[in-house]
Amino acid sequence: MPERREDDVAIEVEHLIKRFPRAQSNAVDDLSFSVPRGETFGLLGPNGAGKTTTIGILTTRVRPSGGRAAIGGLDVVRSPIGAKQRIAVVPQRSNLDRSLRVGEILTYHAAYHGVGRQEREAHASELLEEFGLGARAKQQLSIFSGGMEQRVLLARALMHDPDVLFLDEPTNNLDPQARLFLWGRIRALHEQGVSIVLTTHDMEEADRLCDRIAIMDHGRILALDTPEGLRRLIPGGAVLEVGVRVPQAALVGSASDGGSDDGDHFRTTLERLPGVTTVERAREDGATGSVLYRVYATDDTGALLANAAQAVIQEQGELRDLRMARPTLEDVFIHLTGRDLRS
Amino acid sequence: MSALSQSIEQREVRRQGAVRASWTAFLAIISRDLLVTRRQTITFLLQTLVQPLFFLFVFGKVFTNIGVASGAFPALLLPGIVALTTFLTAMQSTSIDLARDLGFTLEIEDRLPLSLTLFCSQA
Repeated sequence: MPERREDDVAIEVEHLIKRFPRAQSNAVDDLSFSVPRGETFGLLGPNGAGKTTTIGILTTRVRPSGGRAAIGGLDVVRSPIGAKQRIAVVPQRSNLDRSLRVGEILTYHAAYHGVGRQEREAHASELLEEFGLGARAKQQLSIFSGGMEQRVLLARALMHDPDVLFLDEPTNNLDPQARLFLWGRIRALHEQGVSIVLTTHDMEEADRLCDRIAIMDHGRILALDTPEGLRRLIPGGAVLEVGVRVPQAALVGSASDGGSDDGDHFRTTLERLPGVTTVERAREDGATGSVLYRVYATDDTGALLANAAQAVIQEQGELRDLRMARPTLEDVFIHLTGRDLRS
Repeated sequence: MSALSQSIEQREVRRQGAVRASWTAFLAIISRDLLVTRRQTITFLLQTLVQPLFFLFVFGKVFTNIGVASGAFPALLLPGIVALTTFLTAMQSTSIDLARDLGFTLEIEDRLPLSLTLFCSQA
């Protein structure tokens, strides 16, 4: 690994271990990774994989049993206060101060972090305005909906200009509007150079937001790569689905040709295309006379799409359906962590 | 947006040493507590005043009237009630709030920019 300046690394974790008392196994088991400054880092894993414990250690809430974790070069065990001044957390469960009004939640949070009065007032009203809560600054939190609370949580986290933002399943139980809004805000923060650590169960969310994703299970990292890179872990690469309706004329023609089955006729044609590894006859619909082929290819799929369409038309088949079935992150996730329910 | 995109230098200026940061947070938390208490003045006064008054009423007035205690009992009782009230109020006002914050709302985490490992090393 090339030498990096301390400054460029937002989070560094080396051989981190956490074992809870009387537990059968380690909750976090020899974990090592680092997050460069400005990266959005996703942490995926089944329930109980150790994601929240890892975040707990990094946010100084949990004491590690072994190993080292550092935020911006500051060890979280030796200088927890320094580390805590550089991070902000949006926890899984709201821990907003229910005795205060919404505006005060923000200003007091900044005050705990030593932000000057004028600056925090200005910053708070600006953030509330931006988050669509400007008119509600003087209201109590108890009348807020879940989505609004989530927005307050994020606004509060931004009050002291953190270097690293931890988001622990931020879009759980949010409506689509609130989710889109949150995604937009996370992207904006990413563009401003804030390092973000995101845990989630929403694969689409991870795919859209994260630069790199670690898939965890049993306290270990199973895979760590870009979303694109993770998809390549699935054997087969690209998948193309071709639906063909076989016209009666072609059927008669090919049957008299060499007596071969009509399905094989299209199949061999597709197999001859460049980059194709296997072709599979996935589904047959007797009523409409259409067949669905799944074409597995290693090659660039843009060209494959055009080639497949052309081949079908040349063979006088009627093209009914043509779509790319890219392996999703969920496929990768299940591939790595298995289908079993966690006990 | 402008206030959000502060330069790293500006952020670093605000960061303080561990001791100063602790004091800043401590004072800010006190001012927060004073604000909340001031806002709930009526409830606060009722909570602290009603209990000793009821003690005095029941043990002093009612007990003497029904003849369980002698007439000099209330005079003896008063300093005891003062001591008891001081003790109970001090205990309740910290422990109930703290138990609630640490226990189920976890609100205190919000108010502590300092390390929580001081409080709960295992959670």
